[in-house]
Amino acid sequence: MSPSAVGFREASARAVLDPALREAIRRVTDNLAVRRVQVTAELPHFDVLRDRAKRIKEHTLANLDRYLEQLEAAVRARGGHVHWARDAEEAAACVVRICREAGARRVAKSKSMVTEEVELNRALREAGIEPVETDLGEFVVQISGDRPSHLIAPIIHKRREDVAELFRRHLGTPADAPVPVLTAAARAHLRQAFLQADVGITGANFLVAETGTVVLVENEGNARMVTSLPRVHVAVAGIEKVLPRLADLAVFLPLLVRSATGQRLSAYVSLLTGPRGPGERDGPDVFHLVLVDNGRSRVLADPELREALECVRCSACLNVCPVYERAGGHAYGSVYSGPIGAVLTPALTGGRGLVDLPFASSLCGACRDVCPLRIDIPRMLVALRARAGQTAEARWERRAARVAAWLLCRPRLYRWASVAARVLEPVVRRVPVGALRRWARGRDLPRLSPTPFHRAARR
Amino acid sequence: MSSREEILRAVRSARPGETLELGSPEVPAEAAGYRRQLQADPVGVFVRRAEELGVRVHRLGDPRELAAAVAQLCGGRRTYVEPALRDLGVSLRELGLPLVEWDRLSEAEVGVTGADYGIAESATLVLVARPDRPRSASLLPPVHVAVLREDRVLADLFDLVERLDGLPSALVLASGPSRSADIEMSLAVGVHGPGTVHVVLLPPDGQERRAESAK
Amino acid sequence: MSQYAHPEVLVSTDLGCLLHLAGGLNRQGVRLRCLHLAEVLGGS
Repeated sequence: MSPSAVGFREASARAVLDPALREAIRRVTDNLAVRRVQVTAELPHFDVLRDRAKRIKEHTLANLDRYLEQLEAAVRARGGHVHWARDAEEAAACVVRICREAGARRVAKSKSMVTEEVELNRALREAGIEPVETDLGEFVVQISGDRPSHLIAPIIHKRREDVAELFRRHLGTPADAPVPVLTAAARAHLRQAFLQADVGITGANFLVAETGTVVLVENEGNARMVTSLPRVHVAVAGIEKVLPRLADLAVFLPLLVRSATGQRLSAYVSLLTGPRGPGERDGPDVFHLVLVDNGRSRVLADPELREALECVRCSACLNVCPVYERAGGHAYGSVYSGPIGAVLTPALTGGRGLVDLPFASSLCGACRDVCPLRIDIPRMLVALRARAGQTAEARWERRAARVAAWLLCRPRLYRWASVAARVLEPVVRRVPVGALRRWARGRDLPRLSPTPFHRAARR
Repeated sequence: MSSREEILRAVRSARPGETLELGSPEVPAEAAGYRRQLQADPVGVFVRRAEELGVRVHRLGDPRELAAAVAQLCGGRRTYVEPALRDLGVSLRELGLPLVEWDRLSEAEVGVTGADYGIAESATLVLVARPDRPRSASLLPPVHVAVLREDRVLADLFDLVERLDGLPSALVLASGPSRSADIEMSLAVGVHGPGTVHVVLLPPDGQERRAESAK
Repeated sequence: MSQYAHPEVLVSTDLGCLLHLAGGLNRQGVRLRCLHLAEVLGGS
């Protein structure tokens, strides 16, 4: 994940002061949140599906090696190739190698968070291969040199006017064009990319171990395009995306889609198994699956954080989070934003963002309430806070806590100290303590009441 | 050690002690009432929900009306008909419709395909890739006309996974036209896939029904 | 929200939240007493 030079604290402080950004985020998240409520209420058994899904995921993660092996065998039985990548560099290098061996000059990509996580586009470019993002939002991100700010709606931070100006410069559309014109221009431009691409690269929403199937959930049709037209298809996926059986899709698809966009099903769900069959006129000749670890096995081994691997990337948590709503996705400085991002980023990277991301929360629990897998994000945020408390940056806090604990265990000494504090208060308040300056930016040191509580309580 | 071995070893050693059961894939009992509603009138549910998505549904009373109905939907535009509907293609050509061959698919304005199943719950067309049912026919042209037999409309995904016996190279669940709300949450239709979808429903095989078109 | 409701006192049982809220309100110039529940019960 490309690190952000600026931490969450500074980035969010700036974002909060941008009313246009906040309005844009609020419009999208409110919309999606309302739709989620409506469409999940339609299923009286929705909570049963959630329970089922949780069980399936827990079981799968507990037996992940077995299912990964089963998945690999099933893919190979259908003529596909399977590659394993321990980290981001390996994953990117693997895809580059596949593209090179296929003699690819042009590559068309459909939206994939894991490929952003491993910075695949940069690796492709460095290898002289030009990747074209074909998801409308990701295409805009790409040509504007920007970064996505929401898990499933990458450009909610951009206004139509911004996109119109961008398209005017890159695609020659008329100034200030309306959305249908912009869409038609993108469609025509990207169609060329589909038709000319040698390789199509996708992520995977699910991987079915039983059948070796890649499942792609989308609304635009670009995932179908990049997996039907180019002669090579490369699917890149985190190892936690595995589901045991095809039948499990009847549980996971409604959970994912209804929680994500408030639809019963997205416009297209593709179940892809191996390259094209004999006699078929389209579809890839060659299929590659790249399984990516990049910290997932470490999280799997972590009993406190393992639950985060159950995430199906629906973004329901983003849409109800008061912090995300005000700070926006970019403030999280990582591919994964919002509540789940605040857990995944430090978890997958072994500590990046640990100092501020777990604290970017009021622990209200709205995320846990809406999560289709009932992932207990607040629990994990608290666990991460405890770990943050063990870092070098937190040593003054630890010392202060130790002193306070020592004092509070000695009641007579504590009572003397509270008297002394009242005598010294006027002096102490005047001394600007450098280390406390950050603490004091948003807080005021409260005045001591004239009578300590323990005296008042005794009366 | 290869990457594969390292990853598998790391995953294996991460196993928690307890073995968790997977659980049955059977339909949950709590869904029974809800599914009964779908199963009582799958075609009716399919039609209603398809129209909510902006799909135009045309119920034919007599399978012999098919060519005329499709010809009308194609409206004289260049059309590609998948090989699985060869007979229909012949009839359409006789009716004077300009058909394009596979190698000129990118010039087609309409793609006519069959659908293997329908799913009532989500107004979904189930499209199986086969030599005579290429994927692109329902994807490249801006208009998709799907021919579906009514008795192939299933209630929901549980029904579908039950019926699938082995998987094709590609199985697509298509529910409505292609869409995006990426730009300011403003709905754009026909982004990459077809922006207009028509479903022509045929009566169950060998039967005729009193003609009743949805629109 | 407190700017619309015009309450007199904001009560919480969480010291951390109270410090944040009081600090923020103070910096926005909102006159609102922030008290811990114990202070209310103790008759502050």
